[in-house]
Amino acid sequence: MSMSLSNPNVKQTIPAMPGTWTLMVFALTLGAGMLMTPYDPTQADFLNRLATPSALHWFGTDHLGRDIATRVLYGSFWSLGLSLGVVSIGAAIGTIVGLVAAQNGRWVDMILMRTTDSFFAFPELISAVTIAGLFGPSTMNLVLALIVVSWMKFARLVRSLAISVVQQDYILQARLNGLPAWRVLWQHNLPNILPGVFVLWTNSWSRTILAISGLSFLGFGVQPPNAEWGAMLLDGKAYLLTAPHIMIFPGLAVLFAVLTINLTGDRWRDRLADNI
Amino acid sequence: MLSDNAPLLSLNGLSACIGRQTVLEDVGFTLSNGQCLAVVGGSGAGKSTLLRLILGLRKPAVPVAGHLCFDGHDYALSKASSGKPMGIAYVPQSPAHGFDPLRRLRWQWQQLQRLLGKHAAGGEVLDALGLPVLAKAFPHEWSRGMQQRLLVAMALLEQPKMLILDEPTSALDPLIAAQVLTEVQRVAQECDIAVMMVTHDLALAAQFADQIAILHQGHMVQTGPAQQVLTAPSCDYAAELVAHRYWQQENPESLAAE
Ligand SMILES: Nc1ncnc2c1ncn2[C@@H]1O[C@H](COP(=O)(O)OP(=O)(O)OP(=O)(O)O)[C@@H](O)[C@H]1O
Ligand SMILES: [Mg+2]
Repeated sequence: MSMSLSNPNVKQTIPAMPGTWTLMVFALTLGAGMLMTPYDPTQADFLNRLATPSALHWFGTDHLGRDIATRVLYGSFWSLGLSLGVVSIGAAIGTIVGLVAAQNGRWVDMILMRTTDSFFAFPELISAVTIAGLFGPSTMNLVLALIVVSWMKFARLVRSLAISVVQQDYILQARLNGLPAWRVLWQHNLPNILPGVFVLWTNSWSRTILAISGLSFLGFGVQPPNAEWGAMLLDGKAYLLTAPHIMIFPGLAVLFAVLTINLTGDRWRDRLADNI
Repeated sequence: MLSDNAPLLSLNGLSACIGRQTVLEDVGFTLSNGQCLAVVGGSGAGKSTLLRLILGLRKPAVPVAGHLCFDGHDYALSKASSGKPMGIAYVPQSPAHGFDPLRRLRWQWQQLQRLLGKHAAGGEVLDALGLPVLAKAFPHEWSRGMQQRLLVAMALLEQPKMLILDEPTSALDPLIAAQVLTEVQRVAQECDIAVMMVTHDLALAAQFADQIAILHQGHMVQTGPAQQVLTAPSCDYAAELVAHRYWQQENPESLAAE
């Protein structure tokens, strides 16, 4: 096994993670780009409508004359950042539910797992659309909707991992030797569970990026004039034939982000499979 | 305080079941300080289950009846009971599950030292068990036999009132097995520790145990001083087990011929 969050000794055994590096370079580029761009992502400039890519506007401009490169950069805040938040909150909720279910067993376990099962009955996109339909389309409702449908996988995974870890003899020994329950949880259970959670987390992150972009494209998510990649695709739809660059660049951004995150996750999964 | 001749542990009428299946029925024995009891019996007889019930662990089996007295404390064993006797060290049957796979062995050893408040103790036990220095190795980098010996060393480090060993020599060659049990015996006598161990090796039991208990399909079919059990088995199963051992001892060439 190669991952532990708390023990520096164990960290030394983690070999270089190319996927992780790509992600970090990606994030740095986005940050630096946002600092350096001379344009405002939402400020319209009607004299420069639908300009094709040039030295001044690397990715061209959209139907309101806004610089697409700048909007793609700022869009990463919504597409990557928002989805990261959603997935992390979902992962935290799911992890807690799974741990509580595994530790308590019996009826607590049964109630929590049946609840989890029933949440699985909501298909992701449809429930988001339903919530948007009920409460109006807004970023907040989108976030809530996606959290509601994102935690169950984590709960199931953590429960099954935790149950198998709890039955291991070293947990029992630690308890017999008087290590307090919370320290057993912190020192032994969590480090043994988190690598699996992390793999699922990267997986869910890329799925959530697609969900946010998809919903925004349908008009249920992040609202104009905010530069979200899916919303940008929607902006460019009317100009698909005359100014395809409006759609191409945000589309590429989604593709590249999802691909990078998925590859990182796969890499981690292989690592873990090797080491278990 | 206990008087000198009162047993450290006495177990009476223990019955236990896993689901609807009864795995132990009316099991009982006594064990005094410094004594060694070997539990022998076929695979699936319920030996590990018995050990875990004495430790107060309710998985996989749950006690339905019985009474445990350990170190002057009484524990009624039933479906609802929850007391755990203190001061027992345990070496589980499977060494692979005995260590946190993510932590270096040295870390786990030092954590035990910290918990016991015995910093820097136990080096001589590691030596006596023939273990190398606990360098940066992770559990999976050690062989099963080494893991098993380290578990025994950790149990000895605790210097408990009682030591429960579940097949502590299953992964060891005969020479090292004897070496490990010699060390266990030495520490046990030095610190007056009662030892209860499961083994499949009657020769080892004869050599190290004061008492032998034979468990067969959840029943304790015979228990008594080692020599008596080995020379005068009281039931068919015990007789068969003992006969098998002597057959092996007296006919080494018949094994070699196969
Ligand atoms: N987790 C479990 N779930 C259900 N039944 C179990 C479980 N563990 C053990 N048993 C049953 O309990 C009985 C006794 O098992 P136990 O592990 O105590 O045997 P044992 O004497 O230690 O055998 P071995 O020498 O192979 O270790 C067996 O019949 C087994 O089928
Ligand atoms: Mg066993």
